[in-house]
Amino acid sequence: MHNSGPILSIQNVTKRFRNNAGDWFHAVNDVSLSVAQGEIVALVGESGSGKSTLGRIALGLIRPDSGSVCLDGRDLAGLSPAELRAARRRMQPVFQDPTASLNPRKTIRALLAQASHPDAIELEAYAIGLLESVGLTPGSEYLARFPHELSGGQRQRVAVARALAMQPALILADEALSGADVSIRGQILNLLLDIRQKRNVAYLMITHDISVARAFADRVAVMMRGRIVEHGPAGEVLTNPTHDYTRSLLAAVPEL
Amino acid sequence: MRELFQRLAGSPAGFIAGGFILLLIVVTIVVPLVHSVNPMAISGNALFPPSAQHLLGTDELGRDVLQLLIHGVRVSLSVGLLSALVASVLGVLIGAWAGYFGGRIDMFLMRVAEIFQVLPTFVLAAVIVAMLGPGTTRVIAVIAILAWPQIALVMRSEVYRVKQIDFVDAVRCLGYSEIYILIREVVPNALRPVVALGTLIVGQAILIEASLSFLGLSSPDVISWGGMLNSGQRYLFNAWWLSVLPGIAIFLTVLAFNFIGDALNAALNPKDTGR
Amino acid sequence: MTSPQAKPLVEISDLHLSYTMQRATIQASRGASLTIAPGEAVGLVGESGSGKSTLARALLGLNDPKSTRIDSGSIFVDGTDVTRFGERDWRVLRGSSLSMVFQDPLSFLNPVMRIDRQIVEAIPKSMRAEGVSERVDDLLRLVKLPQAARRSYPHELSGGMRQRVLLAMALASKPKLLVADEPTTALDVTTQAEIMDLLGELRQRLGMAMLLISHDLGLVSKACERIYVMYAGRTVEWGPGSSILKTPAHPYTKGLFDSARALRLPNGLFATIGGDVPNLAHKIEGCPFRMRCPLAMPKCTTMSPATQVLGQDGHWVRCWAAQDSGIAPAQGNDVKNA
Repeated sequence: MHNSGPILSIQNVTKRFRNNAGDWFHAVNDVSLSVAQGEIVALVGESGSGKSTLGRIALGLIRPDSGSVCLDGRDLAGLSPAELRAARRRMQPVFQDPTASLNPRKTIRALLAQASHPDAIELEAYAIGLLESVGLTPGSEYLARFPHELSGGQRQRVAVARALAMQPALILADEALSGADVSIRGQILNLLLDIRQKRNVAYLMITHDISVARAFADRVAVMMRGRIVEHGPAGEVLTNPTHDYTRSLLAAVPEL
Repeated sequence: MRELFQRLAGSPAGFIAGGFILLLIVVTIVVPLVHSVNPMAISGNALFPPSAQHLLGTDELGRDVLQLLIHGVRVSLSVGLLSALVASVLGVLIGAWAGYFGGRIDMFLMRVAEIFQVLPTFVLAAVIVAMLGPGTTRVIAVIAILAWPQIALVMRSEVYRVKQIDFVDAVRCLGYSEIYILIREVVPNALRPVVALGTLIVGQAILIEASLSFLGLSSPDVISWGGMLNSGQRYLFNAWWLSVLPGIAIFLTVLAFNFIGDALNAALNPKDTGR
Repeated sequence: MTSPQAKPLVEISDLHLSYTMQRATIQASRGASLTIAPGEAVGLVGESGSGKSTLARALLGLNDPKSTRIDSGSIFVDGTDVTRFGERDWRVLRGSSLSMVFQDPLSFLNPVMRIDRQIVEAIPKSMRAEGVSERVDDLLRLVKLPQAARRSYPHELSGGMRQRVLLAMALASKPKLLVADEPTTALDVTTQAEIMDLLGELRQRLGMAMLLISHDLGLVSKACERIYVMYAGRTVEWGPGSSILKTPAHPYTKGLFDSARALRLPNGLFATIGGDVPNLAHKIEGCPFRMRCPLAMPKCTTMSPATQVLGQDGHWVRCWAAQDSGIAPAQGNDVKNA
């Protein structure tokens, strides 16, 4: 249905904020990035590089000062609030801390029902199917539980299940694996690979974890102080970097 | 919810205070049903000390003090609970709106709230009641209008904190409207401190009502603890029970609501039990 | 640089420790053993809930004595048994032999006090005679903070600089052992590299031992001579870093390292360990890892694995499978009871 063109296309986006001293600084400075159907793009950089701001701009949560964000070829800036809300469903986030990203007062059933695509009729069965597709089996056992009754890894799976409930074309994972232990990280990465294979979902993964970006992504963009300084196939950029910053970043990571 | 009750039961002061308030409520409902005596009725000698016939003695008109006290509960509790309820509803609505949407409305509402906060509450209440004339409804309205800013300020900062938690953005990405997010996602997570504060306001309101009555700013045909205190003080040296007993009743009730507020505050705030 | 005969600075033997939290009893240590020689850098790795921080806090006497109990085992620091220590004894020991740095420096710094005064306060009273101001200068130089930082408040410094301040405070008492619990987890990788380089340099210069606790295996294997792997409150494998890295004997260690490398298996999937860490409020019979272990056998359910040595370089493991498979001990059955 949405062929050839990129799902998400960010063109020359700039966003400035005021710092504590009242001076303006560029959080994101003239950045362009696109994600095609079923593609995995990693956005790597250190804190303060602007990668999370770019992620929120992509989700339509922050309005850029200039430049455009196009979803399925439509510019988000040109949409009415109602259209924007509908468009957002094509793109779902998974945040770093699943404890913060799940409303603590809602059961898993309520969280998934709230996130379910309007077309889903059999909500209960749909929710169970979602839970089982993220490896929480049997799904029915989880429906009545609250987030705090689950382990951190299970909570992050629920967050992924919620993101999937809308049947998005793109999942934006903002440091979604940073809080997880390495054994759980592997489980969630495999889950994401499995979902991509079955549903052809694309991922925009915002991360500071170089080894995950290299092993997981097709393409990688390295961000520094609001700009993308290097961009290309993940294996190439993160093995033979051309930019000094990428080199220093790689040198700082203790290899196993 | 069950956990909350367990935690409340873990605080002895809160538990006893809760029992006391419950007893007061039962007394106000049950006593008039089984014992339909007009408390205003003159039932014995005037200024009679506590005895088997009149457990807590009689007043200057020969009315039974125990009967008067029991009927006074109704005024104290209804003023306390209703004014706290009205203040909480106002405060929650205004604070939630200001905290969530921010901007000029926020600025305006918060300046208004701050002005109310620096006004001497009791003096203002006294002046308003003196100008408008006595009446329970008016007292409730005045106290509520003076108390809502406390709730609004707490609610605003709590909503401001909650709206920045990731789950709000997650729900926004599901395509829900801002009003839905505020009401269904943010407010339920911001109510905890308001519940505890509301309980404390009940105590404050009872005290204000009693003080107004003590100053004679209540209608003489309504029995209230503050009014009893007022008429009893003239006989302080020859009939101590007329002023001391209503004083103790006010003291215990206000204390009970404060204890409940503190216990609720502790029980609703699970952070300090972590490791 | 450390001979095995040297008297250990720290010797924790088969420690069992539990604490109560919301009416549940958490058995956070279930047979943890660890030794640190003077001047040695030792790493302690494990996932969250493995009990590594509780172990470190037990070594520092920082667990709340009201809710924490040592059920069995011992902790010796510098030849003294500290398991019965009171708060006063601990303060003396922490002022002379032990120091620590933690993940979040901001919560350990007083926000309204200038840096130099905070460092002065960290200097033990007995050392204050010899020119306090010069001592602060020395410490700042040691951690490579500019003199300008002296008059700053904590919020005016970057995360890396705050961690340096904390390090200066830790070094003020000239400790024999520095316990660093996730010291760089909150920092960016480039800052992390700077702090780790600094730590290595300081250790060399001051001859100080270090216990580095981290979930980052790359960091630990780079900075430490020996590594302990902890799982469910128990140390399951330990030995020289190179040996653990090249020939991990415990299936948990192997799984952990493969996951940390983000290794992709021939089928395209990422290496991982199935399941979840066990709940430490429950009693576990046999080997705590058996539920997630690809090599589990009937024996693992009933008997807790014995500790056995592999090779001559002090590589130990607690696993039945390591004994029965080809990775087998080089020195026959040198089995110590667990």
